Amino acid sequence: MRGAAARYRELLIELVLERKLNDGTLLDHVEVERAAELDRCWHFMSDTEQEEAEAWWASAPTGPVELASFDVKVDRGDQLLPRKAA
Amino acid sequence: MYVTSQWVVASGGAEGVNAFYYRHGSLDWSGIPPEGIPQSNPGTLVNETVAVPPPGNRVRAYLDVAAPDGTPWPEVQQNLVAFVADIQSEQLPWEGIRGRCYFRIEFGHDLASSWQQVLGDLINAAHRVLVTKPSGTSS
Repeated sequence: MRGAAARYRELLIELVLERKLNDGTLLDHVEVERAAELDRCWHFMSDTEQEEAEAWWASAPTGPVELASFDVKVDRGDQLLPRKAA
Repeated sequence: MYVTSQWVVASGGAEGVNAFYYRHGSLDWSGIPPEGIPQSNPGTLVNETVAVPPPGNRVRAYLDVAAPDGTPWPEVQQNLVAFVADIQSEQLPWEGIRGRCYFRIEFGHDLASSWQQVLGDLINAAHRVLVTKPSGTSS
């Protein structure tokens, strides 16, 4: 199955988003469908791809310690960004 | 259009996600966003959902989405998922274009270990401000 590893990653993210958009839960049949698709992708992934996918999901992105931005009051009709650098 | 959601914390400790929806009207485009959008031209604010009233709250995380006015949410979400799946292992901020959507995501180190949940909250807020009817408007 071509692209199984890429699809597996997308599915994991989709699952998080779908749960958020549905107040934390999904209908049982949707969960089952998603789990089945994850299993299918996993089956077609090599051992290396499986290890990489697990490490990818568990890894924390690197970035700034803290964002140097503050929010700004914006009213409807304004053409201003709602945040600015400190 | 430009949609942004911001996870903010007030000096008193109140914390939440605010989201803002802008449209570009006659300046609309059909392909990828023109240069300067959204940073120097966010468009005109048409709706917002506010959990912690601005101004002056520290921004802990944000998601920016720019796409042609009227781009359906499923298209935004599909592109966003593919974008994050590709870029997750790179250093923040994550910035790029997928399809005809521009994305920028950034959060501080203290939120990095829970990036999946942070991203979910930001996207949820962006979706809500996009589909919620602005308060104070009549049908």
